[in-house]
Amino acid sequence: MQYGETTVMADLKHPQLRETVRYDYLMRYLPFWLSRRRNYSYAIISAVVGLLFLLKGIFIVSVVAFAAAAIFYSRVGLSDYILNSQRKIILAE
Amino acid sequence: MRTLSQAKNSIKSNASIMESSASASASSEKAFVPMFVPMGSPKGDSMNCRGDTNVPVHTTDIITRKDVLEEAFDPSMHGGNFGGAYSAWVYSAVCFILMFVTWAYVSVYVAGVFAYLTGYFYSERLLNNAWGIGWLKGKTLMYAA
Repeated sequence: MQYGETTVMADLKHPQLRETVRYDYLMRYLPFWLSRRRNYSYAIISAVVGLLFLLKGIFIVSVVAFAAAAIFYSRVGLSDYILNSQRKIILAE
Repeated sequence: MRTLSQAKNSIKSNASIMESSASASASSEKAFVPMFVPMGSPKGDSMNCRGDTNVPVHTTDIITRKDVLEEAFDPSMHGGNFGGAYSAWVYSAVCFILMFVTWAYVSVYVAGVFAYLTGYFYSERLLNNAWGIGWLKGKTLMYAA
């Protein structure tokens, strides 16, 4: 005997599907996209600064800059987790 | 028994609690009208609506959040979306600064080129804003709460 997918229903105080407009939905996820762009840019700038100070021979600054680059690059993935979500939405054409 | 407008207002106030972080600038665009979903009508069809006029059938798309955001935040400048507006604004700001720098240190003729590019990128920003943000502002979108 085969069973289909089932859904567990609970007593919700709000409707399960929210209706909104496209602009508001985009504004909701705009901060994640902006933070992704910023973190990516800061990571590249920090890596370049670290490389320059490495070539200059000032190693303490280059170590700090490379650490900052690693931290900023790791934060890119946090936004990606939100932005690349596979949750379904219904959009009026 | 509640009227339809009272039910709509209660839904609206419920939604505003959860979406307090969202911008309120498009609140005038929120109509919350019931969506008409004609079953079996392909996209692009038209139907007779008011007796004498044919209007396009508004179908719905079931897509993922990733697809919507990728389309809206695509940074290519001729896409007609938010990302294009953002990129064009950055380019126009950079060209605006370079205009003064080249005017002071290089030549007034080079500054003229950057002045032209500033206006070009700013007009691209306006076009992307009109198509991607203004035109599609009030499109209905539903998501699982």
